[in-house]
Amino acid sequence: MGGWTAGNASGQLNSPADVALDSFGTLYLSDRNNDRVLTLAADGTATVVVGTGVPGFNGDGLPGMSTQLQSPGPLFVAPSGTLYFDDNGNEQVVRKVSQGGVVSTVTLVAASGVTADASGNLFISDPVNHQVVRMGLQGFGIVIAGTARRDFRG
Amino acid sequence: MALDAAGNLYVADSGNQRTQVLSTSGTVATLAANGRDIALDPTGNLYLTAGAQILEVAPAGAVSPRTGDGSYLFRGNGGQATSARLNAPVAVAVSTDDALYIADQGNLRVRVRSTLKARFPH
Repeated sequence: MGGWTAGNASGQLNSPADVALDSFGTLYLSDRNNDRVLTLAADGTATVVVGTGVPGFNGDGLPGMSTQLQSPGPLFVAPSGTLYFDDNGNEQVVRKVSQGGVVSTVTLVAASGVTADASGNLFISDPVNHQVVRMGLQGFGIVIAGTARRDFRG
Repeated sequence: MALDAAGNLYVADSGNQRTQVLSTSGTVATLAANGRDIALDPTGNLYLTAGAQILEVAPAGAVSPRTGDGSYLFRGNGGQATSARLNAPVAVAVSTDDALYIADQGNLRVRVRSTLKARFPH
């Protein structure tokens, strides 16, 4: 998937930023400069799952295909099937797509990495505050590593 | 970041050129492995994007290149993965059948190091 020329035509990408697999082996890809998230099937077929292709923010509660993104970065598919991604250009929020396909904002921090466990805990590495945060099912974040200083210790 | 089967959280602490491992009990261990993005397979091998290569770090610590010959630019679809060239690989994911999927940003494409299945040959 991809080619020699950056673009958004069939078979083209523009600055692919992260890849993740779901439990069925479907590949998810943040196509950053096309402001969209794609899935790639085993035969190479690409399908847009989030993003209109026009950068911006038009709110939560819409289906993925109707939701505007801006420079999506790190992404992860939880064991539950929920897709989490960093909507980097939109004030660096982490958003999710539920299995029903609706987009919502999870938390207002930047993420350089995102992952989740089978219990539904979400882990976010926050490069601005130099921390790793764990968010439980109730949506509260707990700092589990880092001192909020850019530094080396331990 | 990546979680292993036991719930340990691996964090690419690239600003400090290391990987931090946070255990479920809260202790922190440090690996010398330094990558911008990391992924774990079910047996505990760690994969990381390092320069123009994907490196594998075995649980015992042995490091071996798995994709890329270390030089940038593009080479090698259909050939040996360690003779291929990547151009700014920024992210890696590993499938349950041991294929590596690489966001090869500088080459504007997703590369695949396949093992059991031939997928995305480009």
